[in-house]
Amino acid sequence: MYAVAARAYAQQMSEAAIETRGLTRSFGDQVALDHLDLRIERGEIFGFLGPNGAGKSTTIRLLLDFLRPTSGSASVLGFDCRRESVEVRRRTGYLPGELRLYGGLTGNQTVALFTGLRDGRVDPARAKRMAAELELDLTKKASSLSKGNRQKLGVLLALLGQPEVLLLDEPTSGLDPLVQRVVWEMLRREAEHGTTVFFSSHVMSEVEVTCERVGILRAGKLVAVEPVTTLKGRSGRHVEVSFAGTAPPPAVFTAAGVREIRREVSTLEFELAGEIDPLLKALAPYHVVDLRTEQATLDEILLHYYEKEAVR
Amino acid sequence: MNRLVLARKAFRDSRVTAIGGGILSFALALMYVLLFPSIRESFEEMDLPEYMESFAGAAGSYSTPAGYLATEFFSAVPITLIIFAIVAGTAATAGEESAGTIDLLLAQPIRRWRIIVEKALGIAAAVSVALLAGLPGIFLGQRFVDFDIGPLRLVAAMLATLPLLFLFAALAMLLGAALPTRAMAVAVATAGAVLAYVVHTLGMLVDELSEVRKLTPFYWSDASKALIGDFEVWRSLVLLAVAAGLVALAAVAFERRDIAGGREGGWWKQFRRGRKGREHAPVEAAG
Repeated sequence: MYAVAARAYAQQMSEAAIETRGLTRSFGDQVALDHLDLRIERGEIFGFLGPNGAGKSTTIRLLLDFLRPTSGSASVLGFDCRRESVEVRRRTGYLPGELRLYGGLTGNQTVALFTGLRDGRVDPARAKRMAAELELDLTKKASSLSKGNRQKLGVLLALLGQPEVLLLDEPTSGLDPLVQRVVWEMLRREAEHGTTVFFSSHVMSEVEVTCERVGILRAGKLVAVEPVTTLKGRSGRHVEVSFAGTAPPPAVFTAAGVREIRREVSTLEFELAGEIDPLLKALAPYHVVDLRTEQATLDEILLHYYEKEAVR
Repeated sequence: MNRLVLARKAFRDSRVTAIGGGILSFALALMYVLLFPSIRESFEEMDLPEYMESFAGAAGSYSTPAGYLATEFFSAVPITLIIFAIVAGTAATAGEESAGTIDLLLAQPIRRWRIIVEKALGIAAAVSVALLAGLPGIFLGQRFVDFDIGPLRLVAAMLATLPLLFLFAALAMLLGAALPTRAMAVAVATAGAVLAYVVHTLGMLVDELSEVRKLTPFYWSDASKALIGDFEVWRSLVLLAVAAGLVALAAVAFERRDIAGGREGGWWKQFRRGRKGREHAPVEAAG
């Protein structure tokens, strides 16, 4: 008997944290998610990117068995998301994109309710500790909390059952930068203890700092799965150079990895891919008054991927 | 310790039904009993039309406490509390869905049927409190006026009426789980209750409806017989069985449906938007 349990445990441990195989969901004629094949390893922090309606929330809802797939299948920690959904949810913490709490309950009552629904398998001191860390008053009713504090309570609830997998739909939306940092420190700590973090985001800086890999969805299709470093390398940045007097002809800089060029009288605007060093060297002979660089926004990166996809 | 955590929550969520309905039930019971002597006097002087007598059912007439209670309290209070029961029943899942709180609930390691069953128990408790609050109202009234009817008969009449409320709460839960919006579920359940009541009352007068009347839950909930000591337990059991069947159907309907979340009618809107064709924008609610 122990051997069987040990084998099951070993098998479980060898499974991916999240795996989808041809996962598809349609609403009527419209395909919200189209044959998603994705594998996320244990302990990974994975960012799921895409515009509204791309299928990010649909994916999360399929993993939690809120929605049922039209075809294909998904598993979390080796448990089938349809047949073994209770086991999936027992090991999962979830923060909805549109978080709605019971307005009439205080933080403590909310924690008690969800502790009860997890058969009491929650360390009561853990909630208190997290609340203190987040500077969240659990004696207040949810309806009287600010949006940021409600979001903090949502994060706390997602972490309550010491989940092995966290499914977070835009976890830091509505939080001020300071609290965003605290939340991400908490999530990173969870990841260090082996928790897999799967989250959707629109904030590039967040993705940059926290993720190891990202998946990009467009109109229900997975357009790319890349390490963040690759994504950043391809995404490019804006460079604006102001010259003393008239700007030199843009053709001078094309060899420096410049993609797009806009020219005004004394200013040139570049879209730069890769390192900035070749451009700096190319600028050396000129009298540069000012040089500003700015990371391309996530939307621009996504746009870049979408355009690439559309061309195919 | 953590047993029935959702039932307790459903009871707390239905406190408007329990407290509001309870106050109404208590106040009406007390008022009816206190007014009984003067009403009996007035009615003894007049020859009641048949339809008025028929409302008293087996209990007979306005001149006895049993007939009077059957006609007044056990007619007005249940139909009012049915509305409370419908509101509480639709709040169970449709209310959570329209409020968006269903997401956090469904993310817990529990089966969906457990949500339905526990909520049904909580709502049943709230509805029971509301109706049974009439008993102390009657007992209090009996201290001031001559109103001779035994407590056992009163309890029996309550037990004959309670399954009726459970049945409509269960119907509301089923409609809430099966229909796209809570408003729709309230409207359909209320329309069903009113229609059943009208058929039931007209059926007492009109031969054409006398058989159809037997299909309404009101026929099976006969407080008037219980008030004269002829409580037919099996009738209550039939109603309870139907209510349990409706809860089971609600669990099946809830188990099978998609929870698109976020807003009222989410899945319905998505489905309709999807049916309009591919040229439209991607599914917004599904993000």
